[in-house]
Amino acid sequence: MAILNPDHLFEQADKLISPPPAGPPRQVDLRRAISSAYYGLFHSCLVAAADEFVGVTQRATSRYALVYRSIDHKTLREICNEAKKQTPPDRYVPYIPGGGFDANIQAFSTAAIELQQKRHGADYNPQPRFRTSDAQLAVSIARSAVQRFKAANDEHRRLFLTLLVCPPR
Amino acid sequence: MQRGQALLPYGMLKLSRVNEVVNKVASATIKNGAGIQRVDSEPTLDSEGKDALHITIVLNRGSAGKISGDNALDTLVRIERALREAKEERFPIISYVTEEELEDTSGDTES
Repeated sequence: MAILNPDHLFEQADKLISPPPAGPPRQVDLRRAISSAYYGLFHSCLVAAADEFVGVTQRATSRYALVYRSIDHKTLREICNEAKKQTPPDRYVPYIPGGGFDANIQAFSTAAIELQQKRHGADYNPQPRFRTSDAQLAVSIARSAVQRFKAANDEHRRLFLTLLVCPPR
Repeated sequence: MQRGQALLPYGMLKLSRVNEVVNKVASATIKNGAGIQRVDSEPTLDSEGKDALHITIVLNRGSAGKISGDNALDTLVRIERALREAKEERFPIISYVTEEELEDTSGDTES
């Protein structure tokens, strides 16, 4: 299995943003950079979930691929939305730490939703003109969000990943 | 309410108030010599077709590259929190642009 390396997606975004010999980067490059920033964050989450529930030594197995593929964008958005709240809805309460998720999970969740929305605009909305500084900050935010996720309280990170794989009904 | 003032639905602030809230938070959070020139916002829709806000933070000349990822992420978190506390329920989609980028009209208009 060839897992997408989030760092490589961020490096790809850096290359797309770097100034060409003349003029600003092309719109298509800035839009793809924003998209790569989001996908770097998204795939970091998929890897974390599959590593947690199947195991890092099982990356070549179909079982690993099954868990990896089980998380979609909508689920990530919904779980992140709840993870940001101090008082989640009743059905989430048994699965969310008392007092809510730690600041690192909350920051990651905020970035995930924001970048997902920006990615949607970059990929599908022809109207806005994207700027280099905006794309650079999107990539920087994605990188920081992944670092915050790794730095989160271990138990909170495991609970968050469990909700991603098994959203409560 | 003053004559001519539109009544906004619950959970929506006037755009001028949104700009004030965002400007205050961003000015207090963004560091390292980068500065905020102004904030503009307009109503938009999110990826699911729900009411949202497109907020543009215009950075002072020369501010590009001075904002770290951690600082930008903290700013994002604090802006969202401040808008929620101000009873603004629309999701804020935040963009940055520098003064020099606004002046630059070169570059392609197609992808």
